[in-house]
Amino acid sequence: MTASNKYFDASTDPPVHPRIKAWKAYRNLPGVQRVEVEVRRDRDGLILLPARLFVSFLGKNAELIRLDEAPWEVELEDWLVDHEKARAVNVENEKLRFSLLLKPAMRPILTRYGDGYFNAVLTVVLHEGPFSKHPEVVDVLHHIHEDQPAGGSKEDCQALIEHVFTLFAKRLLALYDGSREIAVDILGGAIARYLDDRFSVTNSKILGLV
Amino acid sequence: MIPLAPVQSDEILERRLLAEADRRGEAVDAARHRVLQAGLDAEKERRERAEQAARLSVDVLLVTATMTEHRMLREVATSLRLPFERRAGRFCTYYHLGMIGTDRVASIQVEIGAFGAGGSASSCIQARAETRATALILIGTAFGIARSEQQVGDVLVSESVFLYDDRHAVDGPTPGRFETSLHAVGRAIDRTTAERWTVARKVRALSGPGYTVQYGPTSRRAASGAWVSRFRRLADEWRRTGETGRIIVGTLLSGGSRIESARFRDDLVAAIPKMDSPLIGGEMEAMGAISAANADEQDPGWIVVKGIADFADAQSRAKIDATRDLAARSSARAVLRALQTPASPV
Repeated sequence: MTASNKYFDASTDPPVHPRIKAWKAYRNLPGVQRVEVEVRRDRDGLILLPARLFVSFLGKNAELIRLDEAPWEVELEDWLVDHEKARAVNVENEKLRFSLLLKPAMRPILTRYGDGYFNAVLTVVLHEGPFSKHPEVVDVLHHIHEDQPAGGSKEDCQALIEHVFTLFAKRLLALYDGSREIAVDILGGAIARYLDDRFSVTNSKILGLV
Repeated sequence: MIPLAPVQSDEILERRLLAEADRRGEAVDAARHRVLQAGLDAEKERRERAEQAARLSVDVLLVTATMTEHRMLREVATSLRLPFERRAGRFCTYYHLGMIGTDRVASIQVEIGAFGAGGSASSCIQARAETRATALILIGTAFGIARSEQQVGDVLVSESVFLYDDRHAVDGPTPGRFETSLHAVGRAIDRTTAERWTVARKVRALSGPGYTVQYGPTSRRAASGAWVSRFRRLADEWRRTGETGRIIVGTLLSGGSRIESARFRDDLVAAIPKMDSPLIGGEMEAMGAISAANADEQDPGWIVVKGIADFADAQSRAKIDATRDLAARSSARAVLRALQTPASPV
């Protein structure tokens, strides 16, 4: 029987996020040449407030044609980074932005291996890997005390974590026109901020514990 | 004080040392000794802090609120031959349970409720910073809301927590003539009688509260999806193996009220909007511990796992001394068992 059935006949492209629809329209406004992003995540004492995205649609001479604001969402950022190639306002903000993107990317690994094992393997990967000399990573790792991972899944967990770092490296290279030096610095800074959030390092500094 | 780091060069340091000695009217050797000592003291303090941080570091923090909850955790840990070693921190006393499964685990005891100096909000933030814990599990006792379907000792696991104090109270629709008259009578009683408020409120209550309570999207907070999955698997395992006790996953109310009234409880439950996750009970500490969550909304690194000790009514609260131990023990048993199982099925 071959009766019509929309689920079998329709396109498999997912529906577009309403905010992306709007941004596509803003992108086509007369004079808009490029898109720039600023991520703001304020700190209220010991508490981090939810991140927000500020997206600027700029003209030829960097004049602001349209500004939009939205709660930070991975789907929006994926579109901005990978489709629109929209950079952050500066390198520091790019580091924050990619640190937020690291969270959903790492989540499946965390779910599979659990907090303790993931924490242990992550720190081993960083101590032994190419970011072991990145100043921001070194500074944060100095405050994290993890044991060696126990059990036989270390290689699998490590491979998954390194795969995430590799994907991020490629995304950053694409975003920064192949500039490896900038991409390395941003990824290192993003990893440092991810660790800082995960292990409450800034809070421990504020509380005078380190 | 002469800054010890960063040292730009020996020559600059020497010049600054001479200047400092001169300013203080101090012999150069004495100044050198003082600076050296200060450097050694700072290094010693830094090393001691690092050693303390390493000694207190864990992956998972268990949070209890009452002495019974703490005692039952210790009892269950001991029965499983786990250590329960006391370690003093700057802000809390920690009880280390060693390595359970693949997690280093410790517990802290906070005061009942979310706020105040020792409440769950400040204590959990401080303890997370001090131990670098990446997951918080609130354990102990809770109240159930459906006596016909739940029983004392059932373990409630939070898929999410509903913060019932995070609400917006607004005036209801314009009152009709009957309601207006009742309010006028209430006001007249206020003016003319010595027994103000109580009678007036009773009269006004006849016309309804005159306001509605609204909850926004921020009232409901999702718990760690990874931990919820782990407890769902444990629930399935217990069902399959006929283990004593039952694990119920759903949404827990959290707020500042100590509830011993069936009517208050029912009004509270009735005001909560319908959700995809069933409302299963309530407690008082999650509201504060959420402040210590990491900034990842999808996996905030906390979960509540508490045993039913009562049903928030006068009848069951009267028997609380007999039910509290069972509830706290059930919660501790479920949590330590979940920690012993792999994070995900292999």
